[in-house]
Amino acid sequence: MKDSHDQASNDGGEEGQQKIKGPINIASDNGNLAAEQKSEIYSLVFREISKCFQYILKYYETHKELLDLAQNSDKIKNHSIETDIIDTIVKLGKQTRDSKTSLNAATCLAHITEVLHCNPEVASPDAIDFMIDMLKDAKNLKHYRQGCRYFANLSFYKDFRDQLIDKDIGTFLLKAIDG
Amino acid sequence: MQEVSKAIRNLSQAEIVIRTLQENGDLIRIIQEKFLDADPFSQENILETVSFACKFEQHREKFANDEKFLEILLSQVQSISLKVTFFTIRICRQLSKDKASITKLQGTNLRLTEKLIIAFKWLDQKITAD
Repeated sequence: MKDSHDQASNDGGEEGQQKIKGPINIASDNGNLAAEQKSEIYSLVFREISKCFQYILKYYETHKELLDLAQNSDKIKNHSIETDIIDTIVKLGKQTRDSKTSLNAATCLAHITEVLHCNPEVASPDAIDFMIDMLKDAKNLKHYRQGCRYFANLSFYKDFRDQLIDKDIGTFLLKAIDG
Repeated sequence: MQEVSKAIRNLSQAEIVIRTLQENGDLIRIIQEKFLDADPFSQENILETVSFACKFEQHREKFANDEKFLEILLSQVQSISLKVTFFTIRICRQLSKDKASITKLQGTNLRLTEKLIIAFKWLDQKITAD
């Protein structure tokens, strides 16, 4: 049974689960929730969303198949769902103060850069800024590692390379090596 | 309903209770037949019970194979109760652990992805409003 147990992941969702495990005594009605409790639940929901995206992108082939199927359907023609996904992930990562949510978001972006000719939105200025913050976070090894993975993958492409040079990424990388 | 669902939720922290609920298909039946008419407090308790069950792969598989369960679950992303929203997304995340379950959750139109994007935008707006 142990094998199939939904073990706490080292980078996300289950930690949030631990926090409110067991009976919850606070009032369930949104109106009665204290601002602090509400804020904590928002934070936990965002962590769950970021982890969900991480799982979706982890199985990229399945995601791609479903994406192609959906893009070809009449419902969502001419609409890039993947761009929306990346946009949401970047916003999630940039606005959170929760380190697990930011790590999940960084892992998502790094996952996308593993794909050959990945969606260019993954190198938007906001995405690069967010990942520079990850790279700077040398004390937090997991964040730092995702930053390195992201920039190593992006620097493979000439177009992205130019964008990275504009952002003076070389300085950050050298600092990362020295650190 | 509130007290009963609360008791079931508390008891379901024991694995044997989850197993019994799942063997008889009771949990899925509660979701299919009672959940939508229940009050938000009871809904939270029911979803928390499902979330306990989702810690186990065999139960996750059972939930993911029930299309009606998935439809009801995904309809709760923008709930009137913040905690119902939380447990809904937590269950989605738990089910997403398994490749086969993600495919079922996504369906043919990437409904999970769509719901997650909508949920983020909606909650982001709510935070700003608060």
